[in-house]
Amino acid sequence: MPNEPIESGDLAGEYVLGVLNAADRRVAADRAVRDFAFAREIESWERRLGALIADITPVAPPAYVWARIRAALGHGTRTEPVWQRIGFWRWLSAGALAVAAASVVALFVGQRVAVPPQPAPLVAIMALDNGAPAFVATIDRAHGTMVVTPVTSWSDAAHMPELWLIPPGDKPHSLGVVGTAKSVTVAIPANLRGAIDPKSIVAISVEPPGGSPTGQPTGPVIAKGGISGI
Amino acid sequence: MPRWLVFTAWLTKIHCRDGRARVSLVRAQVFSRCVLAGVPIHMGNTPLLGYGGEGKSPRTPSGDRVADSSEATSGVEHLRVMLHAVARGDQIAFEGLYRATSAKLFGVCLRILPKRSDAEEVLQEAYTTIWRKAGSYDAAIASPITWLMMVARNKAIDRVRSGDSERMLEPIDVAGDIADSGTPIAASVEADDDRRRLDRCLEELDAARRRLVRTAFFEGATYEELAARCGAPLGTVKSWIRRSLLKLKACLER
Repeated sequence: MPNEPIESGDLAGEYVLGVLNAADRRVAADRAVRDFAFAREIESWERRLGALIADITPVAPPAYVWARIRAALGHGTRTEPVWQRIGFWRWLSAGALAVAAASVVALFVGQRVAVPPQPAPLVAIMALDNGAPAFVATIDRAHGTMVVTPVTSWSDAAHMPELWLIPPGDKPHSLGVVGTAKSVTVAIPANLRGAIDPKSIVAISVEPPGGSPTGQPTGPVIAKGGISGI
Repeated sequence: MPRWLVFTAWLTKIHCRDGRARVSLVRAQVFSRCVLAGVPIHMGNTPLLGYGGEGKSPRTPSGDRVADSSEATSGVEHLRVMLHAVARGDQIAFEGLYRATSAKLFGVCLRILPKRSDAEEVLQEAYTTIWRKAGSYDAAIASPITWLMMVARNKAIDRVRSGDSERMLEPIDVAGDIADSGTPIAASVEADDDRRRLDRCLEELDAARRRLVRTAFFEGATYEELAARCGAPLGTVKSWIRRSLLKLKACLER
């Protein structure tokens, strides 16, 4: 009798399939916390239906999602190449490559003892008036560069964000137009490198494509922030 | 020959497959970048490290698909190693994991949350949860990609149920007997055993119910939404789905 109604279903299966409305879903989620057997049933259903993921078309998320995740978790910016960091070797060393990884560490650590210490990296979070971060800049003082990453979407297609460095008591100095969707590396002019310190401010103004025609901000300053160590 | 020289010689034989060509690696730096970029690594024809389920299966220089099952196994193993490292607080492994899996998880979120900014927020939430809860991942219970996907899917469905996001409202045809929109991939070399078994069991459902089950899974549609979208009474839709779940479970446990 294929059309005879079924009064109650397999709640774990329904939960994993995603058919429960808000109230029933909450009931199931609460039960999973208290009822170990029910939680295992959910896991079984996840394993049964999980193979469907092969049908999902992958879509690359925009770069700022990763920047936001790192910011949300308070992870530091990367300052040295990955193979010099112990964390990389720690995870690589798991499994079959344990011996191999140890050999490479030994190989490279010996050669890199004489590298002089680098100045600590600096970071600037440029926030909107409501406090939400809009751009994040990481400053590499050793090379005089700044990587500027947008962390929010830019809706104004007719204008571009322009980055400004404002030393204390000085006028804004342009560091160029930055990206609206991707990170951009800007070179800090030699005469401004001395002004990269916690007393200066970095800001973003809205400018015509190609940047401010006057050398000073012509559009509104939408985001600004101080420079600080990590 | 000193041991480090033997190892260097071994390293030069490693190939990094990026889907277009083999890149011969002569330096450990390149090797590590290859790992970080999530590109499968081979020594000769033996896969050493790689990841699976990205829809971008590695090819040999002549363009042949690599079909050996050890490939898929090594991809799962790679994700598992990274997840365990993430559980220990390893930020580099976390970045590698993100690079290897974020496109798939973003795809999952976008099916449930058509509005891109919602999907982006949920993806962010999912990875912060993955970072914090990686320690609770149990390799005996689920494959790494299944666990990651379920974290993202649960967040996305919770967001949808909170009521302040747009919903998919396309009608679902349950009368006709047209073919499924989903691509059956049972014949593909990428399909693993779990997938083949699931496909076989889904085939046992009739086309309309299969369509409802797939829509529910991919879009997180509730009974009420499914009923409205296919124009059938709520009780009927519930019966269809519940019966389908029973059949699926019985079939998968055979």
